[in-house]
This record gives sequence, C-alpha cells and structure tokens, in this order.
Amino acid sequence: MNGARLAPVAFMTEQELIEQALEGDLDAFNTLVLQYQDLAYNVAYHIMDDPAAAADATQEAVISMYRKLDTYRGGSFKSWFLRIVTNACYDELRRINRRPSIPLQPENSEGELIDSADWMRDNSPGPEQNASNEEIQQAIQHCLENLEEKFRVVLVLVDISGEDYASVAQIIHRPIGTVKSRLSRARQKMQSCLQGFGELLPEKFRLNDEERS
Amino acid sequence: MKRQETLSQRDLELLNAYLDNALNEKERQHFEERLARSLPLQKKLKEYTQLKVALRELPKQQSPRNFTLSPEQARAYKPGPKLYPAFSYVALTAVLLLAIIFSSEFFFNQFSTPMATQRESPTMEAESFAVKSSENEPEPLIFTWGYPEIGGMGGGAGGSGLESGTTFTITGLNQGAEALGQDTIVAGGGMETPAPEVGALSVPPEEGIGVGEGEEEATPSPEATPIPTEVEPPSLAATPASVNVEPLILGLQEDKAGQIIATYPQPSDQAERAEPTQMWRTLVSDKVKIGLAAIAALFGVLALVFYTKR
Repeated sequence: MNGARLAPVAFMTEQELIEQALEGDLDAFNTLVLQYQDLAYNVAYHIMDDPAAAADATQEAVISMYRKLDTYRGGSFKSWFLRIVTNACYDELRRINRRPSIPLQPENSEGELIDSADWMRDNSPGPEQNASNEEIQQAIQHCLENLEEKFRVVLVLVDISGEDYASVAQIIHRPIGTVKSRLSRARQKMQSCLQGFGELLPEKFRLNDEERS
Repeated sequence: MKRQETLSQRDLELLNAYLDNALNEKERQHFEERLARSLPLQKKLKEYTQLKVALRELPKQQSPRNFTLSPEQARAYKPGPKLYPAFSYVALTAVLLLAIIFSSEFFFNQFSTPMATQRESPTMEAESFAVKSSENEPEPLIFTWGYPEIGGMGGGAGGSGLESGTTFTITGLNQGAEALGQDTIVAGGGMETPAPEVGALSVPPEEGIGVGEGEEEATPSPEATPIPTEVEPPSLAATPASVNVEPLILGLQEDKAGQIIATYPQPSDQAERAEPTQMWRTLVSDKVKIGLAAIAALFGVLALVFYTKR
C-alpha cells in the first residue's frame, strides 16, 4: 500500500510534497525527509564532529520538522529545515556539554593533555597521498571543532553546505552583516589553527616566516 | 622602504564576500582594482581560497540510516492541540473586561458627581433661606441646656453631674453644622436666650446650673453668661442692631426632659448617599479587577511560553 502511495509523491514538486504533508500525508513527509536527510546529517556531522550525536540531532530535527510543519510560511524550505537542524545541533551540544563523557582534548596513556596535533597522525601504512589527504581532513575537522559554535555553524553552512549569505542569515536568524563578520572571523581562526599543524599539512597551507610577519 | 599594508576587519569581510561571490557588480569592480595593487590582499585571497576548497573537498557524510518516520512514530509525535491560542484568547478577554470595567468606572464617576451635587443643593438652599429669614426677621435663638449623661434629672439635678468635674457645652440650635455635627441635643434643662452672639457656652462644674425651679434660678449666673466664641457664625454676625435682645426664657417642658430631640447628622441620610458608590467600587469592582488582572497575566505568560516552545 505504501509503495503504491509512494509512486505519485516521487514525482511531486517540493511545494506539492509540503502541501500533502500538511494534510497528514506521511509518505509525502517522508519523501521530503529523504530528499534532505543527507544534507542535514552532513551539516550536523561537521557541527557536532560526532557521528552518533549528528544522527541524534538529525533525528530530532526530523521530528521537530514534523511537529512544526504548519509553521512553515513559504520561502526556501531547505533554509527552513537547516535552521531546525542547526537548532537541534545547538540543543544536542548543550546536552553533551551538561554531561561531558569524552575529554575534548586528547590525552596520552598517563592522562596528560597532548599539546601538539601529533595525536591525529595516522601511522598506518598506505599511499602517501591518501595519508596526506586524510591528515588534512583530520586537521580541518579538528580546527572546526575548536571553533566557537557561532563561527563553526556559519563556516559549515557556507563552505561545506554551500549556502549563500542570505540563506545563512535566514537559518541562523541573524542579519547578513553578522554572517559576513562571523565568516571572516571563522576563516581567520581556521587559518591560524591550520598553521599550527606545520609540517603535517601540504605546503599550500603553510606560511613562511616572511608571510607570518 | 615600502610600508607594509595592514588589512582591517572590513577588508577581510570584503575579501570573503568577493571569494563567495557575494558582492554586487560595482563593489566587485572596486575591490578588484584594489586587489590588483595590494599584495597582502592577494596573499590572503590565496589562503582563503585554499581553505574554502579544502573545506568543500571534505568527504560528504552519508546518512548512516534513514530518518523517516514510521506511522507509529508519526502518531506518537503528532502535534497536539495548540494551547497558546486558547491561552492568548483568555488573556485577551480578561484584558478587554478590565478595559470595560475601567471605562465604566470612568463614566460612572463622570456622571455620578453632578448627581450628588444636585441632591445636596436643596439642603444648601434651605440653609441659606434660614439665614436670610433670620436676618430679616430676627427670632430669639433657642438654646437647649443639657448634658447628655445627666439628661432627665430636671432642675437642680445637674449638681451631682457637674461636681464630677466634667464640663458640658450649651449649643445653639442654629449654629453651623460643624458645631452641631456629632452632638445629641437633650432636653435636660431649658434656657432660651435671644443673644445671637452665643455659639457655645462652657460652664465650670462648680457653678451647678439648676433649671426648672424658678426663673431666677434658671437664669445663668454672671460667671455663666454666655461668652461668644471666637468664630461667630455668619448668620449671627449679620443680625441687625435693632433686634430686641431682651432674654426670652421659655422654660422647661418637663415631659420632654431627657428625651433626644434630634441627632446630627442624620445617619440614614449619609448612608443613603454613600452606600451606592462604596458598594459598587469596593465590593465588586476591586475583587473582579484583581482577579481579571491575575488571569490576564497568568494566561498571557502561559501563551507566551507555549508559543515559544511550539
């Protein structure tokens, strides 16, 4: 029965799906979820930096979308949904911060904090290029994680999710000027953080002494 | 040596906007002109471009599972009845009722004040008429001698009461309302005198005024001669000089001794005037207003809470 019902919704436009979902059509709603769940999870993953927490946040966002669908007043549905996702991420981060179970900074076997980023080095054998790419990704994710939430969300939405400034302003419910300011700060901090990795990163991410001065 | 150019935060924001293609045509041309002359800007643009590319090239994370809702979940998470509209309607109704009550009070006060004046005006006219008639046709003022607590003892009976050390007041009947205000006039002994100057007479307790056994005894002793009060009633001051001031003593009516002639002010009259306003404002409106204000505040807060949590 569901399969027979799903066939028509597969050809519906986004607006038609929303209207059907508003009338209580669960298949239409789930079709919307399938369209946006990867985007939602990807954003949540880079904000949370934890697959399980990202999955929780995405599920919460879907449930929240189901309950608040009647408050959608037109415009970009993607931005509207991403706003719910980012709010769910904030809630999840607050919940995790209230009950921290994993140290945010890496520790060695004696329980001392590791200052350098050597802990991220993957010593497993493999092609040099793959190892380098993985190191870059790990470094970037590490620097992302160290950003303040408000800077991280803007950077993820613009550079990873590909949203424009106006959409980000709508998602975070702030003026475009705030988006520009936060993005500028976020990139400055990311650049400074990546420079700390030094020889781990390819040359294009390094600055020589002359450039740093 | 060329001075090193420093980039401001504004420069970096423009650079980011240029990188993200968020500048309009005019801004973009202006920035490109500046970019061509500025090495720091070019270096920073290169760094940010590499960073942006690196972020874009991060592997896309695929959902570990589908996040669709089952019919059971849909039933469980089905949005319940929205309470905030109901709460907001209740708060709004309470506010409207409060507004109606306040406006009613306003109009009530506006229209009730002239009515009260109208009710009092006949009394005022009657008083002024009395003053006028006393001016034209002076009549002897009637004083009632008496002492409420010893009233009824008749002539000479005041001795014991007077010896107790208390003083009493003889009050003219046509004095101002304030002089008569709270006193009870008792026909304990009678003396009538036309002396218009007398407003109140204080008699020392030693004097022992006895009235009723004879005219001479009833006449006040020189020490008890009525002394005009400092403030004379306007009606008495206006008495013509030709008025016959010969004392006229009517004597004591023994059958009236000890009886209350009248009390001022009339309690029933005052209560009649005061009650309707007081009852309406204090017993009904204040309680209702407080209740409605509490309801409006409570449901307003609840509506706000449910609205923000929806």
